[in-house]
Amino acid sequence: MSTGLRYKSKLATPEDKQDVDKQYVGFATLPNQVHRKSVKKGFDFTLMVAGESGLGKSTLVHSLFLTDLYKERKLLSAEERISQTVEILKHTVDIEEKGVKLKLTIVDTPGFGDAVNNSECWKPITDYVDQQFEQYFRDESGLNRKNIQDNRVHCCLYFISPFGHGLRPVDVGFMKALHEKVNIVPLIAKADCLVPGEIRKLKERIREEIDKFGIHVYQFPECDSDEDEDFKQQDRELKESAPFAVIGSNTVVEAKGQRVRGRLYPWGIVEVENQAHCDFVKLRNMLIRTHMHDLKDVTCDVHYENYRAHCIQQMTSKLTQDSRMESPIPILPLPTPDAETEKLIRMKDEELRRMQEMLQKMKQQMQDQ
Amino acid sequence: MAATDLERFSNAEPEPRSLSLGGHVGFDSLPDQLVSKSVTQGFSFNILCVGETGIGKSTLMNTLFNTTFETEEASHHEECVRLRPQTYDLQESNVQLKLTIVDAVGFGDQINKDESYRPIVDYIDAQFENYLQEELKIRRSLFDYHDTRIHVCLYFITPTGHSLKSLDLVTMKKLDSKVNIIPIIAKADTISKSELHKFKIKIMGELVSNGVQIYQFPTDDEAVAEINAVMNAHLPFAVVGSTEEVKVGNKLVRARQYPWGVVQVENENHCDFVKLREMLIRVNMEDLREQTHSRHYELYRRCKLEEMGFQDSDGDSQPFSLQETYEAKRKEFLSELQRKEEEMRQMFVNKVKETELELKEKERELHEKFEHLKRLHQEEKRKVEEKRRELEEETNAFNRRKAAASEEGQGQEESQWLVFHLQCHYSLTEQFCAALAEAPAGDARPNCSASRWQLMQRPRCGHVVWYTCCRTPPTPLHFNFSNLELNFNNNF
Repeated sequence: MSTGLRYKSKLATPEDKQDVDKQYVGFATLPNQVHRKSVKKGFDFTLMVAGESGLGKSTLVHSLFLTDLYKERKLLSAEERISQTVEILKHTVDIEEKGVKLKLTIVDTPGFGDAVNNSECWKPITDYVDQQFEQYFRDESGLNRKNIQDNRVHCCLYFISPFGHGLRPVDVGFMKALHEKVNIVPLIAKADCLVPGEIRKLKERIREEIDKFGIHVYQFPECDSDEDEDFKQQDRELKESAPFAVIGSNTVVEAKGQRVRGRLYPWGIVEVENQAHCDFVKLRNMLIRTHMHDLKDVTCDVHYENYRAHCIQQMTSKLTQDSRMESPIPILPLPTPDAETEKLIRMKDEELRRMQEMLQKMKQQMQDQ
Repeated sequence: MAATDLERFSNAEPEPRSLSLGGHVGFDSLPDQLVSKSVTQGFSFNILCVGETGIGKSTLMNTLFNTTFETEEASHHEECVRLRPQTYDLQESNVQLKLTIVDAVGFGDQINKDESYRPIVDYIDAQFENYLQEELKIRRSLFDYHDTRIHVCLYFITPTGHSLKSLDLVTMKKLDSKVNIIPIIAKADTISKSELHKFKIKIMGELVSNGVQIYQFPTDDEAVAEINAVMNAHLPFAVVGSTEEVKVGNKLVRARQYPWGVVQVENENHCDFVKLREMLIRVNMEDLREQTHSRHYELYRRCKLEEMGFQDSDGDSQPFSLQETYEAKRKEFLSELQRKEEEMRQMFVNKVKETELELKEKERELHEKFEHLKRLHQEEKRKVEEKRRELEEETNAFNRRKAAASEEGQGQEESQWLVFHLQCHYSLTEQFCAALAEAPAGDARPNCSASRWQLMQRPRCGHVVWYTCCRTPPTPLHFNFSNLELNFNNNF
């Protein structure tokens, strides 16, 4: 696994010590220490899957993490779905691989896009994301910060239907409501109904429409210029194949004497992990093996900070209007220029109101005469 | 004879007796005559395709009829569902077919799909309405009429693998009494065999439990009963459409080429396209047309006519006459119109009255104001006049007293001081003052006949010039100086 090797090479090895013994300080072992500590602490990751029913979300999650999270799942019939509301379901599992522990939370959104009237069907989802942010915000601003639980959503996999010509209004609505709060990774679901030419066309279409509607999906970070050519090539391929066209499968079939995950058709066998068949491998590498931490970083640094700034602004503007309200969290007083300008604005507002009243009175007088 | 005659008239219709023929008459060619007549007339067939955008409706039509119907790709962002009918003339051997394909554009794309079914239902009703109108005409040409009623609705189901979507259920329930519905699973190359089996069972179960009546292939005609019964069990058909040809073995077949295999459209193992084509076109096309006419159209017609007030004749009442009922309806309608006209006229008249009243009010108010102002003005004028008169009286009285006094005291050398002062708008220049001072009294000759004007004091610039005179000078007072002429108004 080239990616694994890449990370290993960054860790300092004891042989480096031989270099310059006397001037050797020793902080080159910092990465090792970080590694050890993080392994001890364990990682957590929250993944949200969203999309219409029947697009293969649960199958894909199963294929990604190779665990069955949906043991007892009740699928509603069409009649019951006519006026269904969106629910939020959380499944948490602890998985371990080579000593590294991962607490994985999958947030499912059953009922999204299923009803006949889907106006604002993304509202429960945005409320959930905001709730998690708010809870973290309060925890962070509290007095005891020892054990903060990070339930913020780090990544949202959005499943686009392959049966259409591009993005639908409900897709656009959902992504626009969430693109400033969560990293959105769009996927083309059930890609085994598209021939390679159609996949290319659909990906182009979707990329165009994402630009056209001004949706900010998760952008892969630029790789450093001192990486090797191989890695840069991989990175470029990754960027070019977004959105990923994926196929999921719960079953293992025999193909060419090997047992692979795939789907069995009368005309052939689709292998999930075959790069020529679909982009599942790219998605898995990106999500788990290379970019998981980057997703978490962007959530913390960008989305959460935006939320926090917005929240604080709202609170302080309310506070200045109503000074009796206590601040639930410790905040610094605003720098004076802002307060002054606000006062000026308020004075001007008063003046305007008075002048308007006078105008009204004059008009009345004229009318009476 | 009379008895049997009576019998014949009193009974309704006696049972026809079946007789056997002695030889070949030849009326067994009747079906052939009918067929040749229909062939010359040509057939028309109308298909309605309902399904999400991009589900493969146009491709399937192209595949079914083995031709390319030029249709532009629809976008996902249509505001509402609209129906797009397109008519094509096809010919195969000597049979001409006028095929109309109606596409429901924008179906399933909107966020709020509550009203998605309505344009479709309205379109179907409109076609029925057109036919009904043609049928009710006085001069009608039904044999020549281009029948646009929808004969079959192909409903494309998205292959989710779970069950029907809620929109599908709602729409099919609205359409099942108006048109023959054949549900189809589109893009079936995304479902594996076992999943497909479960999916079909689930769909049929849901349709049955919700009372949706889809089209059942007829099993009463012996020739096709068996095959139809078999096909009924395969509903809904899982189809794959393709217009591209791929080389398989040593032939070119219509197929879709995937990296993992080739899906052949006409391979029964791969999909049910062949079954659909058989059922839709080769076996049951005529039955679909008949069902549309005899079941769906008749239902529509009955509902419509009942709405209009017609009724079938009961046992007792008179057989209804279209004419009479029509007349009655017409009279009702006309009277309704008249009533409405009256109402509107009444309203108009009322409004006019109201505005007239308002205008009158305003006029009256204006008059009042005018009068009031006039009165005020007159009051003022009167007051001013009075004051003036008073003033005049006073001056007159004063003058009289003065005159009287001066007449009384004629001997007195003192002349009455007639004081008036001249105020000139022009400032008196030094020169003028000098001239005025030195001019002997005679020179400064006022046009007053009384004479002695005496300059009281040397006039200075800007000062008031005082002159005395024994009599009231006339107004205006006119001084003639040799060089200058000045007119002074008498300002008391």
